[in-house]
Amino acid sequence: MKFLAAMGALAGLALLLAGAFSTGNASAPVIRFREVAAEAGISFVLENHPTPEKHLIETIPGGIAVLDYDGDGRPDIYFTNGADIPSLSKTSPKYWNRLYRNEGNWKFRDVTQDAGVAGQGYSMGVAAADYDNDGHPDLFVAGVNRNTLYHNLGNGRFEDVTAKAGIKSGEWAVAAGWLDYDRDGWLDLWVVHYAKWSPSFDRYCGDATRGLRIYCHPKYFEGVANTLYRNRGDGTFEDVTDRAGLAGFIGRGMSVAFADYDDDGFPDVFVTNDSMPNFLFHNRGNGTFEEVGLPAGTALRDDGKPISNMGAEFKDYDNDGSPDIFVTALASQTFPVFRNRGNGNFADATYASRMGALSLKHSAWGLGLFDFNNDGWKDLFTANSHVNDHVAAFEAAVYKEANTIFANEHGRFRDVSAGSGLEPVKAHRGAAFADFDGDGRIDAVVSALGESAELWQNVSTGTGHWIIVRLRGTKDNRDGIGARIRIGDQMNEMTTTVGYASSAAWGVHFGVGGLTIVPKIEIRWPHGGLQTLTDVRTDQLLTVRQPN
Amino acid sequence: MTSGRLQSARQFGPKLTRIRGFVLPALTALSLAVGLAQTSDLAQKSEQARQLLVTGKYEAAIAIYTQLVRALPQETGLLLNLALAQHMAGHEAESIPNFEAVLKVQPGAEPALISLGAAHLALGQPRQALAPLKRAVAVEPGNLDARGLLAGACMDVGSFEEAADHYRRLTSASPDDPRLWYGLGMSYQSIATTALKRIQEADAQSPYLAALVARTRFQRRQYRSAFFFYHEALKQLPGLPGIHGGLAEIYRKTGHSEWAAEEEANEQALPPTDCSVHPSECQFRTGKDLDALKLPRTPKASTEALYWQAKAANELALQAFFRLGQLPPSVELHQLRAEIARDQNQPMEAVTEWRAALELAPNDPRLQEQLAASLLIAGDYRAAVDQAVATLKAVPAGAELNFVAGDSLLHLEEPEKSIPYLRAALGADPKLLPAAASLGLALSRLDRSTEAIQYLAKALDLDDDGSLHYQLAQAYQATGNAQKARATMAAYQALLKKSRELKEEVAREAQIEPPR
Repeated sequence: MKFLAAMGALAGLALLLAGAFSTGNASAPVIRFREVAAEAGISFVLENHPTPEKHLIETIPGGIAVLDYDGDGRPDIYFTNGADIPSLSKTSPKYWNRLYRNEGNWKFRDVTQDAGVAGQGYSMGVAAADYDNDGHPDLFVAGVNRNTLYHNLGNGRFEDVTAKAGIKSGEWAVAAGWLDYDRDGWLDLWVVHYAKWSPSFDRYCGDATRGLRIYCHPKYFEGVANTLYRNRGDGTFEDVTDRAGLAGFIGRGMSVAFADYDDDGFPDVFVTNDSMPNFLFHNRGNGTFEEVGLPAGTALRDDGKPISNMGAEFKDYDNDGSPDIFVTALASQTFPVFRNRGNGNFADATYASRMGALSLKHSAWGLGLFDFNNDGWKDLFTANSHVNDHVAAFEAAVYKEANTIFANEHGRFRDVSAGSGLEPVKAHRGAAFADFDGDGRIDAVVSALGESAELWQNVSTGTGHWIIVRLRGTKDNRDGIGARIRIGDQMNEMTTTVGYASSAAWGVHFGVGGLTIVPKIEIRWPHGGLQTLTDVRTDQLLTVRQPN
Repeated sequence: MTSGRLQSARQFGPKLTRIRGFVLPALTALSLAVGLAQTSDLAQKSEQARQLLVTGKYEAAIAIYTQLVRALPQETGLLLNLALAQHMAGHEAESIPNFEAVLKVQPGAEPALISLGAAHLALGQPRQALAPLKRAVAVEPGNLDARGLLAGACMDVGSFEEAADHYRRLTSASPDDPRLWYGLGMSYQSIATTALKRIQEADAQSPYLAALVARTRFQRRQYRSAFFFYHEALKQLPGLPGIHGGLAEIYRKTGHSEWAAEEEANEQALPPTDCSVHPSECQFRTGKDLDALKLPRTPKASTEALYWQAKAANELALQAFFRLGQLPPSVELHQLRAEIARDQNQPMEAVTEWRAALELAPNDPRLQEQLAASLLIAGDYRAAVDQAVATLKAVPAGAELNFVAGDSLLHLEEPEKSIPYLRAALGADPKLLPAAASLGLALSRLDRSTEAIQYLAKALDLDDDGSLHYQLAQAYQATGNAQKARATMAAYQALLKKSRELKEEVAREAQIEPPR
């Protein structure tokens, strides 16, 4: 009887495994969203202060962070905002950055003033992570004229520690991200700079005869190098840009994404550059980086022409265990896909993945590569709009667009936006993603220039099972950033950077299809240790502590 | 695709009009003459053939005339009718020897002269068309069709001054014909361009060249570039009239009215010109553009004289185009606007104008081809494909149309569909390097890098931004040729650096600054 029971159990396990990741015998569950910002109490409007002079900074803001700032288990939302031009000051509450506390059941409350995070200057992007390993996620806000490091005090308030920490301002910063580049257990800060600019820049671009002034092309702006701040572990940071070998790489940075693309145990850095080749900084593991974008095949699309690279995701889309790269850009440029060949270089898979044809008529900024229907394949959500509000007068493109969702069907994508609910046509910018209601389906929050932000509740039906892994580092940084997690064929790295100038600090999500029990979860911590969990129940948020 | 070819293709009077206008009376006279010498059967056939010709049934007419000519080889009239039928049916090559045979017997036969010229033009042989058309115009100077065809032929062979002369006479005789004003404007514009090229050949650093280039850049709304070139001219010729005025125009366009006033004052303050030393300048400044245009026909005309010739020609071109603009909407007016929009980097406007031209001449394959090309440039790739494919039904061997279709499909991320068109483009014109470049990329995209390499390598001469070298390096990498991949990537980086440095230099120089 025991033998028969064991055979039955094994048969059951076989069935479970068979149902695990394969949805090839039937079409994937339908991805659908419902927009709930207003009923949720989110009234944020991205005030970019558009001017007749068309200052370039007006068209670039919009970063969003998702973080559980108060540790109650529910992801909260932080929106960055613009400022008055030319003063670049937040002269009115309408320009405040805003923190919304998730109170459960799709209700959010504006706690900006209580938290002390209204911000200063013209903000662009945000990066959330626990940089001091005290258990509370902190915030770095990148801005045109003012960067701000907010230390989370753990009591619902933040303290501006920018000066104390040694973080500088001055060059226009668009985005940032947290990584432990030297694996010392402390999160370091990578700041992406765009270009040299000041409010006095007043070049006329456009068609004066038709009275159409437009935002100037990036070619008129001199680029700037990224900045790398090394975390000393005492609350202060050291600018190691020169020492790390980064100072000579001048770009017009828009976003950053991290992943260990060559599996050597050290996080590497991909930076999108506007109208220039992208950078791929390979971490040598000795505190320095080498720029390998061209030889690695990630600098440009296969036609060799620079495009308006915007946001980036550095994740494994084809479940071969190696992180790939997705980039958003403008209409007629396509959204490039660089597939990791596993040998240190990448192939342009834009056409092969079908993203080329699907993205041709779209322009996008924010993006998120997440498994929205929990079928085991990461899908792509893009926050869409062109950069030029008069684009229709110059080319066959539109300015405002609806967002799009592309379902990943075993490494090839299909546009499933029609019927997904993503209808509002706006000048979308940043996007961040989280499971706001704990149902295992990834939701989205999107900003839009001059209009209300969107909160997208994922209401997809027939979705598969899921698991969210929240890491707690002990030897490594507390967030576990840089750790690599494998479940079956799927691989994800813990990161809090997402898409365009945005951040999501709440865990690593896996869709697991028909599995109710995950046979094995492998976690490779940045320090190198391998932790294995077996027979893990799905449909839960699992906190995993690094063994001492 | 050049507008010059489009211009001469819009021949004067559709063939049917020419048949009715002057051929019919000739046919009638010749038929009578034939009738006197024929049997009743041949006479009947002759009349039948004449009816077929007049009603447009050319192939049937050819069949009967061929029999008649065989039966009555001495009847020149029948030979002429046969040639006319062949010409009207588009069998130009076959018609030519027959026209020539008629002209041997009747050298002044105007229908034969005009139609022979037209046949050569249809075959793209403008040089061969000149002689018979000149004779036709000499026989009947008032024949607008003949003179119009001759003017077009002169344009095609580069005899722009002669073309302008014919167009001046034509516009006097027929002032409401937009084709003539367009032709006149284009001939003057070509004279200006030729003068500019002669200056460039004589002295590439000439301040007169800089001044002319400045004006062109201004017309294209490239104000910074125009500013730069005006200052280059001013460095060497501070007293050259029009430069300060040109700078003032730039200042006004870029919102610097105070600086504009300053330059206008500088222009006014220039000393009067010594007309004994600078006669062309004086003629131009007093509005005697035609006189300024006439240059002593010496190979060594001074750069100054060429400069004023170019200025005069430009002014006359503007006047002709202005007159065109005063006429009711026409294909030529929309074509002109489309070309201006293209030069001013307004592809959407160009598309609108080509569409407007097509509404007036919906079945003109050349206009359809221009529209397809403009759609490609404007980035409306789906519309470009649709237009190119539709037009290819009328012009299947068109190299450029096949390229437009193929390149558009490639942009639409449909490389497999693009390949047949790109191959057809190269088949029709093996020197169409853009087609080779696009074919290489299409093959690479389909993982056929081994095949792609030859096309990418062939197109490298086009590479001004390094992208083709990049593509070739990727293809070498994909086929395992690491050494060539490295070398080609190094070449890409060198080109990129050079291109960047050049752009930076231009950007530095082309800043609009206060008057010096």
